[in-house]
Amino acid sequence: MVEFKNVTIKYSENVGIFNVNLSIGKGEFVFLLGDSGAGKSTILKAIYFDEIPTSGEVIFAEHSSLTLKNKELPFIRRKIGVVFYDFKLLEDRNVFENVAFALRVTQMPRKQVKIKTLKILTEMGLVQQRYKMPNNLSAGEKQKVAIARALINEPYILLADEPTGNLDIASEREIIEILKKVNLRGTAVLMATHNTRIVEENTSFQKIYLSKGKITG
Amino acid sequence: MDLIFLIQEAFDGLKRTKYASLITVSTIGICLVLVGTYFVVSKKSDDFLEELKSKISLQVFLQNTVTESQIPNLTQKIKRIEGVAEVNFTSKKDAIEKLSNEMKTDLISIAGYNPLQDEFTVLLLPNFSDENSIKKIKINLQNLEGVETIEFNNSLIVQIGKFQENYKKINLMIGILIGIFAVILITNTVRLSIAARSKTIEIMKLIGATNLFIRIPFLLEGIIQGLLGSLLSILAVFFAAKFIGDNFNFDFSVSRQTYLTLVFLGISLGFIGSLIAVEKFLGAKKNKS
Ligand SMILES: Nc1ncnc2c1ncn2[C@@H]1O[C@H](COP(=O)(O)OP(=O)(O)OP(=O)(O)O)[C@@H](O)[C@H]1O
Ligand SMILES: [Mg+2]
Repeated sequence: MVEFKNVTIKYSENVGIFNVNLSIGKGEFVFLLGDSGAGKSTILKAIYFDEIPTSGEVIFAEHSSLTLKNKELPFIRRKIGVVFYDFKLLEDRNVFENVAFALRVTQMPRKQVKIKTLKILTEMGLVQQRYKMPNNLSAGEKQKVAIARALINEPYILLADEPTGNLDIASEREIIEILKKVNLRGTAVLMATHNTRIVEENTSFQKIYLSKGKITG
Repeated sequence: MDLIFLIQEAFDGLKRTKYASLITVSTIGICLVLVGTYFVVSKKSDDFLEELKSKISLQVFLQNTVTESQIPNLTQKIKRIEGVAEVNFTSKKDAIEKLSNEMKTDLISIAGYNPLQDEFTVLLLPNFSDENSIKKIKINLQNLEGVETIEFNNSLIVQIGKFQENYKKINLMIGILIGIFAVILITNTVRLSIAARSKTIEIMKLIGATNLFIRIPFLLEGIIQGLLGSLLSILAVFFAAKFIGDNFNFDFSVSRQTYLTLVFLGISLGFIGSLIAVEKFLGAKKNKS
């Protein structure tokens, strides 16, 4: 579903990712590991086509970075959920609106938007908080809102860039459990982190090690 | 396209950024008051100069040999001269009577005869109020049979007329400066009010909003801000004109066209400002392909 063929994204000499080959199949759970600056975020950006390879090819579903048209981008993005360490919530909208917005952009009728949004908020244990503004949520709750928003379009893959970077251990474990559940339902998960504890606690998942822009194992 | 949603988004955006929007709308309003004032003042001063020019006249005095029966003929000939707007005849008899009345003295009995001459007052068209045209008209009048002397007492107006050419240039320059000022200030305030939400645009892109979907609410917002700003400026100009009219006995009525121009300017500058901003943030990360 995701495939990197000899991908290089060069920001400057020795900065970026170099000759990366990898493949992530449907329903897999993969950790992307490496130190700060190793290129984890860059790989994620390449998958949602926010960065286009300097050379090589990135394939997501039936889309290739070589033939990608700008016009297709929004429709591809709806098939990829993304969450970040800084949540990227719209601070001036409440929980419900934040999640519903991802459906609204697909031009779904309002009634359906409401039903689907309430459903996923309930699943996430957020339905009671739906009128709260992001400012009034704990970090763990914010991340759950972000995950709800990322999942509401039923993406093929969820990309998580250090999703627990801003969380305490309890929230971290809760988020990981949610990601596992998401994965069990068939959504692939690619999670970038340099948190070794998480990896130690979840030994059964695949790991891709990255160092200085290159895959090392 | 869920147009209702997009319109709702635009109004929501305005509500969410209440104070910023208020400042934007006021800025647009103030700019347009300046533009409106410029329109009104330059229109008034133009009108004033035109009115002055339309009062330029030559006095044509006739020889004593000219008889009353020749007057209609002479009137026709003067009318046919290029640049003449109107011709009025005053007989020396009417002239002395009028003068005697004004002075409350019988002037004929003092002089023993009527010392005045028959005369034509020749009003000129505004376009012929420059020195050259007046000279030509004078020559044409001089060549008519029965004309003795021609007097011209409006040289001051001719001087003002000369100044008018320069005045028009200066006025145009002021207009252009005000225009540039308004365009820059308005497009920039609208642009900044959107720039403050570049993060929102980034997130919208991330979750798969099409460019059109992102663009429309922001453009609508810009248009609404421009419209509200222009309405504000119309209110200000209207009441200022009314105040001046009521208190200074000076007709300062503002034409409907001026009001419409202000609305048009507000809307289009609001639109352009938001367009520049949105396009900038939409294109912030162009794909290299
Ligand atoms: N837009 C960019 N322009 C220039 N250099 C960049 C850009 N984005 C990332 N880099 C550089 O590329 C390298 C890899 O960055 P990347 O963000 O992928 O690292 P990372 O593994 O995600 O690090 P972290 O764990 O700190 O998030 C870093 O040295 C970074 O400074
Ligand atoms: Mg990173």
